Amino acid sequence: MVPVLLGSAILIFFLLFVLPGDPAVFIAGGRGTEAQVELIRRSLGLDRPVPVQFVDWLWRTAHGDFGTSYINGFSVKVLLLQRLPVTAELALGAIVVATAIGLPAGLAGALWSEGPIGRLIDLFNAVAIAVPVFWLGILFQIYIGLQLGILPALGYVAFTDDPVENLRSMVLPSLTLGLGIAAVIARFLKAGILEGLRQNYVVTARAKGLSRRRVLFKHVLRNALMSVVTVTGLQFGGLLGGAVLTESVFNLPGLGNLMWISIQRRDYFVIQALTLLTVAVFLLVNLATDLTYGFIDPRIRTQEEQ
Amino acid sequence: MRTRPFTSEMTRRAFLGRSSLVVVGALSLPEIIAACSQAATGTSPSATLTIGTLPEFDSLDADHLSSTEDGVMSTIYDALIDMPQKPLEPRGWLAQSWDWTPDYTQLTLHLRQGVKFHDGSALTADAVAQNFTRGLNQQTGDSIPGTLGSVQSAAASGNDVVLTLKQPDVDVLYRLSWFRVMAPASFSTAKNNPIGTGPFKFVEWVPGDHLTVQRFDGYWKQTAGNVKQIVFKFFSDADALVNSAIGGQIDVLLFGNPKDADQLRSKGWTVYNRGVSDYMVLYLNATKSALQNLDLRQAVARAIDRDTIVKSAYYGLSTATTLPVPAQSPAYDQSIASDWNFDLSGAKQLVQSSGVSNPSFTVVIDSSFPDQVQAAQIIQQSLQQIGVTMTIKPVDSNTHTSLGLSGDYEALMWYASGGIADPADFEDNSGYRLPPRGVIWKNNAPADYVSSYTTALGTNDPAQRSSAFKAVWKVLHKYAWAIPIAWRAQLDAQKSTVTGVAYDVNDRLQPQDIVKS
Repeated sequence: MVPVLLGSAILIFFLLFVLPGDPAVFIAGGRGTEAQVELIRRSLGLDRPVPVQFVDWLWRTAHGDFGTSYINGFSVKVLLLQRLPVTAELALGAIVVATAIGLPAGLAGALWSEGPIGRLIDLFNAVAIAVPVFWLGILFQIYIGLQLGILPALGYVAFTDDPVENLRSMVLPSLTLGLGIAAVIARFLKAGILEGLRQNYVVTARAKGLSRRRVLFKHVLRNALMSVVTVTGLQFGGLLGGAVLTESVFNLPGLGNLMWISIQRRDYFVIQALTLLTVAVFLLVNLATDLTYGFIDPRIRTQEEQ
Repeated sequence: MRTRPFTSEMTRRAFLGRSSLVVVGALSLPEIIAACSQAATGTSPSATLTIGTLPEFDSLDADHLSSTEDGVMSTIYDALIDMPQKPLEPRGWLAQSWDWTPDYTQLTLHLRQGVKFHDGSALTADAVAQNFTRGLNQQTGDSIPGTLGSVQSAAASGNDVVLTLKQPDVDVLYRLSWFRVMAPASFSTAKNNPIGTGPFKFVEWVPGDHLTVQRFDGYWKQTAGNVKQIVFKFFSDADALVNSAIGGQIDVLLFGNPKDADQLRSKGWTVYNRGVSDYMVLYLNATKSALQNLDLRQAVARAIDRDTIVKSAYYGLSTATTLPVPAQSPAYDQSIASDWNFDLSGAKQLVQSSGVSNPSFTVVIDSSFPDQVQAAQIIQQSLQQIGVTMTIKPVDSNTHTSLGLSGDYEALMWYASGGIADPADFEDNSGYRLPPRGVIWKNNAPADYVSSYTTALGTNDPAQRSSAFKAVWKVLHKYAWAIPIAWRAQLDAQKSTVTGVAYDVNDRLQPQDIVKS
């Protein structure tokens, strides 16, 4: 994990300096001059050689000092800690929606694959994958939030301030972000189940007199879930990307929003900290995915023990 | 306060006339109304006003000049000089009065007594002088050093601040309306924990979510508003901002998209265009590529369909322009402005006379501004009809600013501030600058541009000054490297229950007299 984090840190740090513009340009603004930009660069230490800046940043980061925003002066740690719960809640909500809809849809799609239910689920999957996240979010916002008034159209209420309003405010964003992933899960699960039902061991099990339900839920589903776990872990990347759009549409003060603003302003410390955080979360998700394999498939657990 | 909504049929002149009358009324009546109403009812301000703004504030440092903070700066800070939209004359604010030396090279500001910062410390001449020292320093002055360009130094003298200028500059009073005073103790924390003398004091800023200010009971001026607390709610998406307004989550909307004007109006909101001081401009780098050819540049200036741009990009809420000052400026000249009326056949002739075969150039635009994207596309189509190929290169804001300050482009679309009160203000915009600060004219600017501008800048009599700047516009039109296109439209709106919303000539919200019922 550490080598991956270090490699990511190096890559992002140097890529940032390849991009044109920097925070000094943003601070000087349209009324500035190149001379002034240079002076500001010097005062921010941005005129030092890039490797020197990197080592300085790495040393401080390793000691828990993520620096302060060049633009608004807030501590990067404070900025991240303030916004992390919002994005974490959004991601969790999206995964809950994705599995709550995707698993039953995939199962139903497999069981009734030839009938109208199966076709309807296929249609749902195709639409949910194709529709852009921001468009879906705006639709939900207008029709469910504004016209019907069933749920808040946008905005965020912290859980600690009002748990009920917090959950209500996260329903539409979670649906927006989770539906696309639900469709992917449904597809993979359906494919996995159909593939599994064609296996010899299933024929044998049925021949031995096991019921269809028992064969499906005790044997086939478990094997099909392996691919679902894999794809869900992979979708996590798309989830973080989709979070930027969802947070923008629903005006959620999350990390996606912060990343977008910081890239525009070239707020280096914030971008670097966010990138490290994203990589770390990705690695943890991969770890969790690997551990889940062992939970689903005892053979993997046994091999590891051996 | 604005008593009538702005419609596309209303001219800018009529709009400014009406709104400025209302602003004047709002600013002159409040003391009377405040005294009467509060004395009669014994009530103190108690309302909370929620203002939705797009995007989030970058910095609360008073020296950070950016329209992003238009809504908040005048809540926390006061300027030395106030410049209302009408009458277009400076009036005392933190500086109660002032005196010039006969040669207009020294300005003595007499500070108002009894003004306190939000931390309880007194506003002193020394504090103001420290603000100038900080603002004039290019390392610490954020984005204000250019605006204070003609100021050499500032010194405290008793209760006065004496500004020494680099050259005579009567319009420095207008520039001082941009200059807001911070408590020196807050210099290092001003970005996110500011201390000023304004009608509201800073309470908290939750990045990405909201910023709260609360009424300052020790404010030096009596105000008519009943707002105790203002919460600025941040948005990063224009549609989310409008939906929030429709959903009743905000009372005032700043920086909305002009396309949403009708929708807001249908929900009972009062909407208006606030964009009076910025215009879209196309800079043609006269030192690079085919654009070195003057006939080609003149052709481009005449091939811009400004009316279509205003209709498409600004939904008819603004007006076209070919001069760097608005129509109501004494320095405006219609005869010069009409040089660049839309004329494709005339433009085509100029392309032919230029002698440039297959003329082409690339224009850099800021992709985060839809109006620039639309305008560029419209111009591209027009130029295509006259045989000029314009390639559009969208970049992000930071890259765009970087290129704009370096001059490393063939053409660049940007915004320039048009000086209603100060025609000289145009030169501070990057593409117009003269050496040694020049961006396009890094080393040699046209001699008549240098001489006409220098003459105009040194002219102190208002009538003669306006005439002198008209001579500058003639030179700008002669060399055609900076092509004004249209005044920007910024949609602002307020609920019907909110009154007293006003702006100064720099488009900054003046919140002290806002009443929310």
